[in-house]
Amino acid sequence: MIKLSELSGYKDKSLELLSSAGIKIGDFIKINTKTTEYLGNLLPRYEYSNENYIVIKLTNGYNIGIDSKKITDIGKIKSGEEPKFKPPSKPNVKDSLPKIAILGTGGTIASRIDYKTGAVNPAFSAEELYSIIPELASYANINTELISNIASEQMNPEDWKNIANKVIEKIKEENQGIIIGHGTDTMAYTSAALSFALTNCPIPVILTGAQRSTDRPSSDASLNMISSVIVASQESINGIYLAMHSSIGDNEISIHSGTRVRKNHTSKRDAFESIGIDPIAVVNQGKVIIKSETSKNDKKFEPKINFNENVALVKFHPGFKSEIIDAIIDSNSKGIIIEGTGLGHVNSQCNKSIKKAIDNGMFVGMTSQCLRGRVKMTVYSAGRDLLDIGVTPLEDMLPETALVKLMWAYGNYPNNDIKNIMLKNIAGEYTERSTLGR
Amino acid sequence: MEDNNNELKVGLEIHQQLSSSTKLFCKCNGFNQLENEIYFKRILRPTQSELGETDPAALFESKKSKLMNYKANINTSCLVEADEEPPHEMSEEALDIALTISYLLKSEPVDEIHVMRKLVIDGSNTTGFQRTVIIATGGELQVNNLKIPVLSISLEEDASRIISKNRDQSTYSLDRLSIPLIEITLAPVKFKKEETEKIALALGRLMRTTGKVARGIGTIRQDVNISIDGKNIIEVKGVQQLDMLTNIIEFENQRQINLLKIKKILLGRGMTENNFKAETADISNIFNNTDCKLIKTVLSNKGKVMAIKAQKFRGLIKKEDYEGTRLGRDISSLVKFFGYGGIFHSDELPNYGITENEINKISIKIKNESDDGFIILAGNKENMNITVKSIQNRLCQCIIGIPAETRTPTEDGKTNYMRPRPGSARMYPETDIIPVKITDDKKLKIKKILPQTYEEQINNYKNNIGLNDKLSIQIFDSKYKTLFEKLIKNIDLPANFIAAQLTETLINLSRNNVNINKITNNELEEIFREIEKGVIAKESFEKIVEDICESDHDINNIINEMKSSKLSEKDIEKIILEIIDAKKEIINEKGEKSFSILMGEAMKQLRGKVDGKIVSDKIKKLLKK
Ligand SMILES: [Zn+2]
Repeated sequence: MIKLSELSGYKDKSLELLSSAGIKIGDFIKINTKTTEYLGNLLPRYEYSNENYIVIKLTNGYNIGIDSKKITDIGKIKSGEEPKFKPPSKPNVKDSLPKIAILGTGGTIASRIDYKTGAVNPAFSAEELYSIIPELASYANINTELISNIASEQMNPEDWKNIANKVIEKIKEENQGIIIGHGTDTMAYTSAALSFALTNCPIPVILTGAQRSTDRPSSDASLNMISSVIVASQESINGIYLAMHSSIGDNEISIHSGTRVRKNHTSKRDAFESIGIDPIAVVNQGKVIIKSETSKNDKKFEPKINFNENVALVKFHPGFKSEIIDAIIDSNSKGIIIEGTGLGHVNSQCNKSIKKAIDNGMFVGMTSQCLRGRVKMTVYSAGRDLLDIGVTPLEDMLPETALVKLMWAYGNYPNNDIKNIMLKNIAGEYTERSTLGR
Repeated sequence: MEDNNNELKVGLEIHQQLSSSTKLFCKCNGFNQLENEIYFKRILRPTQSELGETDPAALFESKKSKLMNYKANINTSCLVEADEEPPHEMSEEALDIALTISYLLKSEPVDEIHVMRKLVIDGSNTTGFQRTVIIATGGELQVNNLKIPVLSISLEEDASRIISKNRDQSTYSLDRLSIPLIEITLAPVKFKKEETEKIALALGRLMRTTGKVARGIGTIRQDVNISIDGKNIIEVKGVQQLDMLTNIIEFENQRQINLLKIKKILLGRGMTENNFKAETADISNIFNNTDCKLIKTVLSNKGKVMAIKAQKFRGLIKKEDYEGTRLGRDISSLVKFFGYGGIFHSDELPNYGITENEINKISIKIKNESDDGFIILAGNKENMNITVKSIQNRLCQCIIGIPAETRTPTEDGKTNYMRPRPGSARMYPETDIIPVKITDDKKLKIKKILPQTYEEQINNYKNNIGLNDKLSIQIFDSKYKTLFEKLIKNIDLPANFIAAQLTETLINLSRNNVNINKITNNELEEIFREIEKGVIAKESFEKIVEDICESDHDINNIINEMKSSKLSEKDIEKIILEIIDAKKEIINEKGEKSFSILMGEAMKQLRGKVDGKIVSDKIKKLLKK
């Protein structure tokens, strides 16, 4: 929340004008230019604004920027008031409802608007979530914890580990399900990472987020959250899933398997799609409809939560320079996932560099940039040559999932186990059968 | 005392669609209403703010989530309108038109414009807010000798077109969503009956001088701010017809006067804001064996009947000196907002099957004395508490004065309660769009090409182009103004002919239920070119337009067909000779005077195929023989 006492964002001439007039953010001020007199409350500035504009909220609610160079007079009329926000109290929630933990990582699940400054403040306490999404009270006893506050694109494998640790802690605290609020950009990477790190996780762990910001009445966040809570309360499901809209309407939420999901659109609500399989379930009108048979997995839960980020994902393309692979070898990387063309090919000019990598003990795995379908490197000589060199075909694993898996493999297993691990189906990351119609 | 100082002040807020080639924040054009083929459904949820809501109606509105159905056509809407993609940069064309209009009103553009999100959760905006931006402040509108100050000029997105609406859900079409609207807010000024319409008219004309504002039903909308106590403003939203304006203002004036009279009487009866206590009671039991059908139904549906004491209100709830201004009607439209059908009140009872006996029981229950009244609310239990609270507030408000609220006009010139007046504060920045600087260069460029005034343009039509008075005004006011100005430069046909086709002929077709919106400017231009070439007759204009609008045929096919049915000189002479032959007797009898009869007969057969002048020349020539 922006403190009214600071003159955040103002620089140079604007800052000079404001501080010499004793004006602080939120103050009601008067600004004169040669032609006009403006009355309004001084607002903080946003990074993108030019240094020499002063932003005020006029009494009719509109913001405008006034060119500092054109200001002939500026003065304070009245001091601003600190916003008075009375946090809501917790509603009555039945003790018999399942205990669900909601972890925040940085993506906003809910927010409140401060109309005075225009700031959108995240709301995260259980009380606030119940107040903003009242439906939650009829499904679960929620507890919340903000474990990090980083934008999705700033996430690193180190953060996956922190999240995994937190999930383990929440399982010990006897939560029946866990929800992870996550920025959507890298959410599918995190869901893959947790799928490997928390193999055989005994309870449902659902990642969810929003494609439309939570300050707007049309945000998809609430329905995603409500549906996630519903799925997290199911006793018949365990493992790592990602829950987002199935379509552009607020009808249905798809529950995707953590290793087979991908963000396939920059902005639409239904950006996330299961690739090569159907979503395992959908939530419609508050009801969970299981789509594919996922019998509850009760194998022993032995988390392995380390990641070694010294691996690379390389997308092959016409004109690709094999020097890029040489550079990866020189950077002491442990392995490479190639996103090849078609059934799993690259230009044969790269073969020498790829061979060098394998000879150096690196794991080199092949996936396809087609995203849909399986690599099959025995069909053409280009593929056979790569097989000869020692490239490992990775079935229909998504390139990003393969990358995350390789980081995880190197983080938890000795070098000579890597190939075996990569070929073992750990968390449904590849399919045995390519389903018709997909 | 203060009652005598009341002065009716009226401020107009005009919303006018701009006819820019794209919408405000994407590259769609929404002026063509095409059949909707895409459908999706959304739930708009109230957002939380850090403002404490005090008005129960505002709280109620902010708490209801509503189901919205949206329909769209992929040619008139894209992901932006569906709220599936962030807005693109603001249309520079729309901004330039708005700046042009600002300068025409001597309004001063702001240095840097910040797009705002104004919360609107009725579903008319898919996002749940309307994007709006202030472009300029200050200025004045000159109407004859009158100068009306301009408060502000903003540019905003138009809302979706409503298709249907009921209590739980609404259906909208996205074509209109985000068409640029300019909003001009005029300062409230002392009301003079004959002036308000003139002001609105003058402002409309001033905007039309740009040639870049949309015309037709729904393209311009007036909101009226009406106040008689100088403090509390009633906003009447969406007055479509100018001629209703005066009626609505007079109704509001009288309604507000009535409220002030009620206030005076209440004060006289010893009521103050502090001693006002509107006791309530559940009176369902009183009606166990009632003859009131409505209450019977409510109770059999497990509903509830509540009485709200209206202390010292006896006679005041029905009081009206001007039709429709009584308080009872206002409270009735207030409860409709919460989904109830209406109220009963003590001033109208016994009636509707409610008996004297029942009234007495109610009075005892809420301890009414002789000059007290009551309101009865009957209906489902769900929103009962908040609605009762709202009625209590409304009654208490009568002691204070006129409540500021948003009202909606009725077809017969009255107004109904719509919702509490939204606080100006329900706006926050649209962070998806970077603020735009209005540079001095841009200002200069726009100032250089300001359009001529209305009077100058009309004079130009008359004196330089040779239009008659009537057509000058008609073409200026029509949506084909810009097309007309282009055509007279490029096409060698009489200006009066072009103007008449674009106004009278098209209006005529439209009156005959031909959807003339289907024809594009390019198609109209094409028809005039063919007429210019002499390929088709002037008379065929109407027929071709009709065919284009009514059939699925391509314009070229239609014109070709016209061409092939065009008659040769010989054919025309043959037809005329036949007519002359048939009318021999009349010709012999009337001589030259028979011309008009022959002309009439000939045109019956030749209309739309041959230029009337050719026909008349031919008749004259053949008659002489
Ligand atoms: Zn669009």
